[in-house]
Amino acid sequence: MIAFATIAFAGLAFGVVLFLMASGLSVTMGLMGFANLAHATFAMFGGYLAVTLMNAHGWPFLATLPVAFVVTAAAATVLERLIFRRLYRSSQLEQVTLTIGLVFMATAAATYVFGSDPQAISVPAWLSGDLVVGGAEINRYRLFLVVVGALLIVALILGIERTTFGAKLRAAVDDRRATASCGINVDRLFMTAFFLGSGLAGLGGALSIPILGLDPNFGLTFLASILIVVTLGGLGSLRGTLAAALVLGIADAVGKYYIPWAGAFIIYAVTVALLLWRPKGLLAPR
Amino acid sequence: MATPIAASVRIAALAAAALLVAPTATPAADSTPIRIGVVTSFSGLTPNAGKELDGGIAAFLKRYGDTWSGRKVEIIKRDDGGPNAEVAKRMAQELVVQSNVDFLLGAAFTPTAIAIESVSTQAKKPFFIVNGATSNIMNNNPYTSRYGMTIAQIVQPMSKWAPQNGIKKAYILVADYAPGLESATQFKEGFTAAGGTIVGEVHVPMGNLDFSSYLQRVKDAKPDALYVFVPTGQMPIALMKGYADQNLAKDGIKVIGTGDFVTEDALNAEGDAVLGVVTSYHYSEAHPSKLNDEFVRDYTAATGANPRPNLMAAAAYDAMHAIYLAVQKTKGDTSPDKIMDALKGLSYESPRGPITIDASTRDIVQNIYLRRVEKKNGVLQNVEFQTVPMVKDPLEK
Repeated sequence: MIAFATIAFAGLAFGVVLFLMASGLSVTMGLMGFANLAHATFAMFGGYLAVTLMNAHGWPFLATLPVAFVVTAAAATVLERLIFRRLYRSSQLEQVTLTIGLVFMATAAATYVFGSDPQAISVPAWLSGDLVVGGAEINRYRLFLVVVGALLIVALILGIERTTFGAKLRAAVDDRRATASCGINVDRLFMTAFFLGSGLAGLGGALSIPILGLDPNFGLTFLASILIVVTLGGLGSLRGTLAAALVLGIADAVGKYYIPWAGAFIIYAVTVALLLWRPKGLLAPR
Repeated sequence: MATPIAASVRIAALAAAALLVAPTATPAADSTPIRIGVVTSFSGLTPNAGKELDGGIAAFLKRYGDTWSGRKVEIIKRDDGGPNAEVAKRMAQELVVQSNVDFLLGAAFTPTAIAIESVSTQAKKPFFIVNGATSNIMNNNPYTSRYGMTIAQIVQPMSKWAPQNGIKKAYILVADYAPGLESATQFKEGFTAAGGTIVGEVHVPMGNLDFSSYLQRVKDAKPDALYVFVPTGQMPIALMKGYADQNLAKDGIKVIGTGDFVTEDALNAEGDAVLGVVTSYHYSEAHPSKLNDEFVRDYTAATGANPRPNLMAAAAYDAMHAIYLAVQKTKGDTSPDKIMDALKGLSYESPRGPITIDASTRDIVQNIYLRRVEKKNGVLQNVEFQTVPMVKDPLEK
């Protein structure tokens, strides 16, 4: 039981990282139907930013996090204004071709600038090691992830469900044309959502380095996991994305502990089973 | 059978050649360059392999010059972009057919080594394997010789050392791919034969970076040591981070393995987490010898020590050295059978220590060292503390 608690907690932390990286994609895909495969690459960008600030400029770990959010968000928004928006009305094949091309370019650029070696960062001493709580060993960094994640999730859910911006956003996800006909500037709404979503990915990328590592292939390695979370959560559904990320994170960790020979397969088996049960997303009406 | 036209063309060519040769009374030695075709990964999964190989070759040429027995040495490089057998084969063919190379050198993986071997065997071009660690891949390829290591060769000393040093129970954690599984099998055999017990075994999917579940299982099994084989890169970093975070050391669980997950190019990124890891391997940057110091110096001058010199660089250096010595023996003659004769039983000093190319198997016989990761002058190094002299691949037939 104690082993189970330890493992489930590790999975929970992984789930939080998945959520941070996937939530932005879920909203932008739900809103514009834009298939942005470069979303995990934004996370990689945030990661490299944090590594550079820490290792080359001596910044403390915590200080790099807001910067990873803001700079990634700004850079992604520039991309959105210059390139992505031209393809909102194009076919998904064209969107996928463009964004996967960006992934390859980013991988090559990161290899050129940072080398192919994995990057390492050192977290502050109070974040490393384990905390023993009632016999279960809780990793301090994962605890930190869960706390930060919980705060962000509450803020996001309140933001989407209790503010005018959130109401407009939900309206636009449900019916973009009707929303626009009410005089709401959907284009600007989308830009803001894109800014926030990319920022979250950048933050997720920086936060994930201590548990997932970082190398130039990050944008491809975690793309599949993120797409699974988005699909399972249901496009545009924040609560659904959260549920999917946590379920997958925990299933992955617990599965590896109890059935190690099945290893990486478990996450896919769970996905297939859940999609058969709820094809439109975990929390979507049947 | 040659057609009449081909035959007459050949006669004409011979006549022309005779005319050209005639004036220079005694052409002492061949004055055409010695062409060495290199096929390895300069891009893809392990671009470092290419850089390290380049650095090893550069270090060798710096020491011995680029004119051997009166013939200029030319290096022609081709990229196979990772463990792509077809690409490696095509590149080797191109080198043989179009660039007219005398020798092939390289490979970073067993599949590419095998692909290049097939070209070497068909074209009768001596091939010098830099890396490709599966046993018995050279049996039917008489023009191939190996300068790296085999997995069985490096695992065996560890599987014997561990039971003699207080490790009675071991847990095996390997990456789920051919070298990992082979390493696990070899370790299990040697370790149980020497009186040890395997208390658990897990094969982790390639690319897995979250080891917490696996390490929890290891903790539950309470072994004396965790035997690890994962490819360099992200996996060892994540594994050792988990080892430190979940505090397996506190439960008296050591980490052992072969040097594959603490190669010098990865040590800086792996950081202090790997301090104290004990591995068996054939090359360490910290090997105490004059030749190795000079090798490291020349390699560093050529590459800026990014990546740091490792087994790949040393093997490239040694493969070049073998060609050099063979060409010296044949007095500049690069005909394949003479070169292969010259290679058999060749013994010389490598940056890793003494090595011999076995006369019958054409495989490397070398010292295997037991080493511990320590900080030397502020740099993480594999510090050798015990030598198992001149180990032959135990699986070689």
